[in-house]
Amino acid sequence: MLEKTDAKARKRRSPVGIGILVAILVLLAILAVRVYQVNSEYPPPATRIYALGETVSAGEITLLVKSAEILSLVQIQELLPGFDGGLTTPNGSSLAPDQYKLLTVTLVLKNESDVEQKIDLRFYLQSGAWSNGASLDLLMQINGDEQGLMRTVEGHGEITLVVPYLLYDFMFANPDDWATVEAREFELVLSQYPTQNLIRFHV
Amino acid sequence: MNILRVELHRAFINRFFVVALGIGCLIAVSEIITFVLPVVELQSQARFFDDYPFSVYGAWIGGKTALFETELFYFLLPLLACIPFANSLHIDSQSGLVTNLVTRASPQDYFLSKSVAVFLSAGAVGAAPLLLNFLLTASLLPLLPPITTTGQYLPFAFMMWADLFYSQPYLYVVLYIGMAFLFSGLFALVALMLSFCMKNHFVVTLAPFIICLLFGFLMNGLQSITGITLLGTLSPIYFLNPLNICFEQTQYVILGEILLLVMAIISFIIYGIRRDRIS
Repeated sequence: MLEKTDAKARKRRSPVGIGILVAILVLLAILAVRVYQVNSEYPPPATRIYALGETVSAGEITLLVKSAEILSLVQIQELLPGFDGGLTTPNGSSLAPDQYKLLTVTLVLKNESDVEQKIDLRFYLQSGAWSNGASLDLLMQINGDEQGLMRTVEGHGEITLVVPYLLYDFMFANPDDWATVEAREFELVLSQYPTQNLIRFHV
Repeated sequence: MNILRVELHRAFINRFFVVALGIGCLIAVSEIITFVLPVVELQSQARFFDDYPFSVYGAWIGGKTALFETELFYFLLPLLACIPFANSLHIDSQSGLVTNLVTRASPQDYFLSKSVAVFLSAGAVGAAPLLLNFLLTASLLPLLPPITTTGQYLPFAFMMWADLFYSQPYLYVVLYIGMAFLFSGLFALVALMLSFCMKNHFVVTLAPFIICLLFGFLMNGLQSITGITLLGTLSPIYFLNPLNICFEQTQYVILGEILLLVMAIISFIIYGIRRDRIS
């Protein structure tokens, strides 16, 4: 008899316990509604993926990636005869030639309109968790001008540019990633939100 | 089973558990006020055209670099984990309560139940504030997938689990919250182990925190002397914090430390169970 009374008493929940449980459930319900509202306002980006050689149209400008390749120091010197390879790490120490590579993307930009157009070429390159912007110094050296990343294309004109991206070994998690960097899939990011336009390629 | 219920009740329904959980949640909510709300304000003012909106993965307590709240939370974690119940074996022994409890169950059951209750209550104190922070942040900022080119997110390509972060960010968050749970539980079990050889229950509570601090200082010193950067990442206070730079090799260190601690704790639990008396 005494044991049954004990069991009943144990089964009875205290009002404080029930109150806390209800409060937690109400809080979770409010959070769920808020999560839904926030995510409705900012939906995930729609992704459009283009291939190498495929034309991307952005208003009156069209763009395509003609080719992409990864160059070693010797190949960079063939492209840039004066290039001494004197690159440094962010803390200032010199890099050995096998510690960096240059990925070049050859872009063709066409202006379909009658008037001159300015194009911002601040496109990032990404591969998995790795990303980098274009190297401005090398861009100007390779293309032999001082225009930087803002390019002007005459009405109905076309320009071809080589955009260089540096890859350093210390940017990758382990030596295997660096050794197989040529096998990676790269993406040139043209825009991020609300539509993510990517040109995906292997070198 | 009955003694386990009693121990769990004692571990979770006590003022020290509320205090430790309260401190953790206060830090977690403080990060929302000082960082997330200003970001939400910025986000609402700017109409994004090509810029990527701030996402929960870059703004929660484990998502943005150089946040005071994050540093404080992970610094205090070994202490917070031990506040609720880690010194209870010591207190039970000193107060004579243990004699009363073992009349209901064997010393072995008592010790095993105590270990489970200590582990779970400490784990809850370690993980709940992070979970609360993530949920609150998710109610204010979108769950957009992180994109490396936006510059909003910390894990660089060379850091531990960076690829996972950009491919399956929720799993990355679960891993870090899971690690906080596991290590909090392990910290508290270390304190429980030390109950056998320490005379003061305050020292028992403080011991894991002090051990972690000394270990961190020692590893930082060794890193300065040897120049091996991996050494500085070996302290749990360091590698549990997602904002600190850990390398791919650090994950093996974490696994090694978990195995070492689990083996030591299991040995002590077996030792405790085999003893015919508790105190």
